[in-house]
Amino acid sequence: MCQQHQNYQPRQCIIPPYLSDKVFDKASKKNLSKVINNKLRSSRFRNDRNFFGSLNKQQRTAFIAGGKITKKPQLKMQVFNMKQNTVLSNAQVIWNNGKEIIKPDKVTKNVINGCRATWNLYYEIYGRNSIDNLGMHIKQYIHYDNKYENAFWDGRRMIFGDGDGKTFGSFTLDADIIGHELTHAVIQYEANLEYHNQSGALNESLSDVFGIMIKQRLLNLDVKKSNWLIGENIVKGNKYALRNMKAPGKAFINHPDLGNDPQPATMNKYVQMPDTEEGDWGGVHYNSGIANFAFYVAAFNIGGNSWEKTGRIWYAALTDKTLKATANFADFKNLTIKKATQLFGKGSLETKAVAEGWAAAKV
Amino acid sequence: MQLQLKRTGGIINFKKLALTEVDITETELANLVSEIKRSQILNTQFRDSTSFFLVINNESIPIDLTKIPEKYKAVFEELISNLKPEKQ
Repeated sequence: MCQQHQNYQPRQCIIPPYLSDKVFDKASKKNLSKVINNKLRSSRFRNDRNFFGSLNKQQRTAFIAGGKITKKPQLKMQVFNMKQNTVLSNAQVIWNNGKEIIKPDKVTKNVINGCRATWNLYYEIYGRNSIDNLGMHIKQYIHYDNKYENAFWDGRRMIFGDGDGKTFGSFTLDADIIGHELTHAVIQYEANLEYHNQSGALNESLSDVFGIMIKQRLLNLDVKKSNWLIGENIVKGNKYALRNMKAPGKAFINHPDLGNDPQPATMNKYVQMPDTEEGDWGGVHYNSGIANFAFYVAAFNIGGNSWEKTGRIWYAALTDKTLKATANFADFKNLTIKKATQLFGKGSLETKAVAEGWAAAKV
Repeated sequence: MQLQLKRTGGIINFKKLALTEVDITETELANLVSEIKRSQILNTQFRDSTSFFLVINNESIPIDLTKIPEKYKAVFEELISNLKPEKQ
């Protein structure tokens, strides 16, 4: 044991005292001031530790500085113009965290408003800070490809096409679609539900569920006022939409290009499809209608604004650490009933409504 | 020889097809396919994305449009512009 440092604990010191002593003894005139400085700092460090080490837990708390006041989380968003190209690296930034770089066109305004509505719902209602809950920058790419009839999430960013102008308009026309794509991102940072068969259909349904709540909140529509249509402005023609959550299978009927909406509303009509790209990974965009219908019935029976109670239950289930990537409809049903019970009590109207929703969908 | 292009996937997953007649030998077609063929799984985090397939003898081959050789670009541009939805 070093005599000059009786409390010396080798695992805690950066430079052992015998070494700093040696350096001090051998210091030249030139570097003496530097060595003294180091020696002083080193001594201070050890003495502080000895001092704090001798305190009990209660005494130590008296020295803890007050918590740093952190800034309120804020939406960080960039919008890029693809100019009808498909090479993402060539995109031009046109909106940067509230800063207008180029005068925004209608599509830019759509994605800014849709993204803001999405961020606001997640933060103001569920306390989530952006898609990863760590304040992640949201990047949106618009005017992708020539007449591209789609919107998608690529694992890092959202991409929107302008539509062909005949069957589809811009895929930014509905806030529910912007919310849908951003919710795919949220799911990626939570259970990351596998994108095939029932877990994939659940992934799709959750994106629709949060998408419709984002739109309903933006337009101040309660469960009775809402028409529960997803993408109603994107599909051209007044009687068409991309999906109908109130009546899956009725978003488009006898559409001249699309034909009939293939979504089932109940489990007994579950569509069996190949688990391939061509088979929509086991029909993820088809069978999501079942879980969508369960949410609609639950929300309608609970009443009021969907995002306030039903949304809270669905969000609690989505973010529950026990939700597995391979979860099926029955797993999610059980989890939403459990969450409703925890949030509103056993036998409550809300818990009953959730059970009724899944029963209506025959899950 | 007939070439059929198929587009699938997307947020409502609908199919679009286009057919064209091309002057191409079996060997040239095999070479083209080997150049543009891709593995089926694009990216496990892609959601609602679309995919393209070349249909030859009723077999759908997943392809990457960014790998189309220069000499076939006009053919594929024509196919893409002629894609028509297949009703559900």
